[in-house]
Amino acid sequence: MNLEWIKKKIVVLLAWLLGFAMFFPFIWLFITSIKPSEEVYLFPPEFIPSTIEWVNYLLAWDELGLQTFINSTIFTSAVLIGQAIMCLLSGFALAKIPSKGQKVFFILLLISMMVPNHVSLVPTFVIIKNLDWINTYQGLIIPMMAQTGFGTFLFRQFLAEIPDEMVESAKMDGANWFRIFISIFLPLSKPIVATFSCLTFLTAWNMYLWPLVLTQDTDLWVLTLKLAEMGSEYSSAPWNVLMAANLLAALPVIIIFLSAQRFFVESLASTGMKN
Amino acid sequence: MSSTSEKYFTHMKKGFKNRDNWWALLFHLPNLLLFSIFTFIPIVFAIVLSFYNWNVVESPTFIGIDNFIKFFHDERAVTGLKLNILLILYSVPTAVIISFLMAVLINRKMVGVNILKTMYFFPIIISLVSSAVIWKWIYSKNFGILNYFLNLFGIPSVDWLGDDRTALIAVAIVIIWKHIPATLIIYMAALQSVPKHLYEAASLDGASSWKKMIYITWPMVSNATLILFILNMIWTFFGSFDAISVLTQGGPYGSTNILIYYLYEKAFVELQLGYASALGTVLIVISLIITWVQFSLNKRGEG
Repeated sequence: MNLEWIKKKIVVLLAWLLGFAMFFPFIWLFITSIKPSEEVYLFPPEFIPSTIEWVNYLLAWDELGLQTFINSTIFTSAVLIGQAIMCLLSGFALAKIPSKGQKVFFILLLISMMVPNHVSLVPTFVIIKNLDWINTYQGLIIPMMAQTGFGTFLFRQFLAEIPDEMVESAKMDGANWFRIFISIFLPLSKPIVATFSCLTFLTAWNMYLWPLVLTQDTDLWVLTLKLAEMGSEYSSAPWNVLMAANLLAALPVIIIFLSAQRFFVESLASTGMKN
Repeated sequence: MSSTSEKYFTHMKKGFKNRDNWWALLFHLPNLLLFSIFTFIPIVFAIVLSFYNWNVVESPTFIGIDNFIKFFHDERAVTGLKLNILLILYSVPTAVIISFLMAVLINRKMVGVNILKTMYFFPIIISLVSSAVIWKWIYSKNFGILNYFLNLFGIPSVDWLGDDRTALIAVAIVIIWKHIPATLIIYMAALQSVPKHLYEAASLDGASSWKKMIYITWPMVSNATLILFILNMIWTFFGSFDAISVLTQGGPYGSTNILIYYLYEKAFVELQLGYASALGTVLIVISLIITWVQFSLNKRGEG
């Protein structure tokens, strides 16, 4: 009886220890971000700062720059909205419109999902260069918007589940495919659009490699680029400001995650993960 | 499974043949255009380009398979591939096993289990760049909290990112930490499908929780484990660039110069676009092999 009780306590302790290990970097991130500069480079480190320096966040905001936030927002929303529209239209056609040839397209989309982005980095760059789109928003956004394999697949699978009778009865009433899509399928797609948006928001907001390759011009930098630069050896940003900047940059995703954690987790579980 | 049957399509086809083809094309048009130009053509182009010598200044010249021969004689590229495999060996089994353990631990009624879940999931939401910056601070040789903890146990400070013996391990720890949440989420879903009566029967036989985990849970989620091993391999193989870029930039002494980082350097620092594309083609082949293994194992699992 007593042994059983001890075992249970050990299990609980282990669970919390693992939780602490996973979450500790964020605690340390926060503690560092509110430290006064003279306490950052103390060793052994102080766990509780003598004063809380919220001014670090103002400095971090200045360092990151409003433009970087705007760029990340533009990039993320453009990729998200563009992909959602294209993938929904395509997914609907694949699921419900009887037509030859689209199977080939679907297979190409599936293949593209299996090929890692890094592989086509060079040719995509060459194409963008020839279009004279280096250092432009369209150059930054459109190639990432064009990664439609996953979205199309996701929407097709979802829309195929909707009973065919709904199409047939609408056809009887003389509705064309566009009407059927807008009035029947679009409203029914809400949950899957939400799932898709969660995943794509996360991916786009956190994207690094393509913006790195494409933007030499700091006016076009997104948050990940700025953070990587601030964290490099050549940066003069002190660690407390850098940590504050990290937290600021992640704030939108943290807020969304905490307010919709359950939904988020379900999205991830149901799609077996993106990437 | 799809409920859209073949019967539906043949039935629908009778009425509206040609017009439907046009409608389908219209619906696909934006996707088809963008996908073709910016996703599909680049993949084909990458494969074609790997048979050319191209350093941007001069026009490309066809050199057959020379780039691939060069790859096998390029010590840094082969080392890059080896480091990639080493990184996978360090990170994938650890991430999968820890995630499994976590999934089992929180698959029970417990005070504060939701807080615990949030703590476990948290690394998934921030970017790999942010993660790497935070860990860089934790790893700091002179001010790092990790060395402080080690010192408490009498272990002298380590220059985690500056020592070629520890740098790859330090990268692997970040990768493990970043990949645990997604792995855990899939395990949690898999645990839901383990029939409850198995545990009840085992309890009647007096089996301990540990035995239940080893003899019931682990075998019952073996399919998920297999998929998670492969997913983690793919994530680690292709998704480590951001971490390397922030933490070590391939160094020290090339000890973290994995193939993808090397490709990036060849392409955008040294501007050897043909050779970089050949490295990309090697990556395509590797990802196809991984995918093929996944498919055949899945088939075996179902059959």
